[in-house]
Amino acid sequence: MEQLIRISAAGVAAAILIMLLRGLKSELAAALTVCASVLMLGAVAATVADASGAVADLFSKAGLGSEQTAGLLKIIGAAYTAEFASSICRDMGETSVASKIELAGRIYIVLTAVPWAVTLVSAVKELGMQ
Amino acid sequence: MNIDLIFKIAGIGIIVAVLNPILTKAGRDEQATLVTVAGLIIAMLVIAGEIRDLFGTLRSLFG
Repeated sequence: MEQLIRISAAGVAAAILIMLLRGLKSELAAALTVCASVLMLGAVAATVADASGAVADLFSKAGLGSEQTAGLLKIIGAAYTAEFASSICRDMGETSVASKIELAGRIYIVLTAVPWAVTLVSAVKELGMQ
Repeated sequence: MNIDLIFKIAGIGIIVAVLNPILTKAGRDEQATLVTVAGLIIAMLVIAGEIRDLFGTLRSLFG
């Protein structure tokens, strides 16, 4: 809870300073936007790192192997990374670069998930054979 | 989380924004441009290290 309050306060402070800087120097306002989002996401990631052991435990209780758990975590990480980078680009007004980053993230996620889809399809096919 | 960095970059921005019109009024336009560029480079240097740390954390977290 304390961490959440700290992140929220930092976000509000950064928003006020960005608003102030946008009128004075818009390039440095963009730099401040990037800095604030990097710091806040870094703080969240540090919190998630503490909880990742519990999540992995939950996955293994659900019967997922370590390979699938790693793949799922990889997909979640790819989604967050791509979203973070593309939102920074969108903040700077580069929508086309942002959409390319999102496309790269989507393709990576699909490529990671394809082997599981193949496994699923072959399992369904085996069911049909019986 | 290091909130000082946010204030540091905001301070750089305000200093640059104050120095810029003074230098321009004094007829030193090139120096005004250089001050702007220097402020931007310092801010980017600060951010670059943080971005590296963040992506390192993400890589170690999600594999």
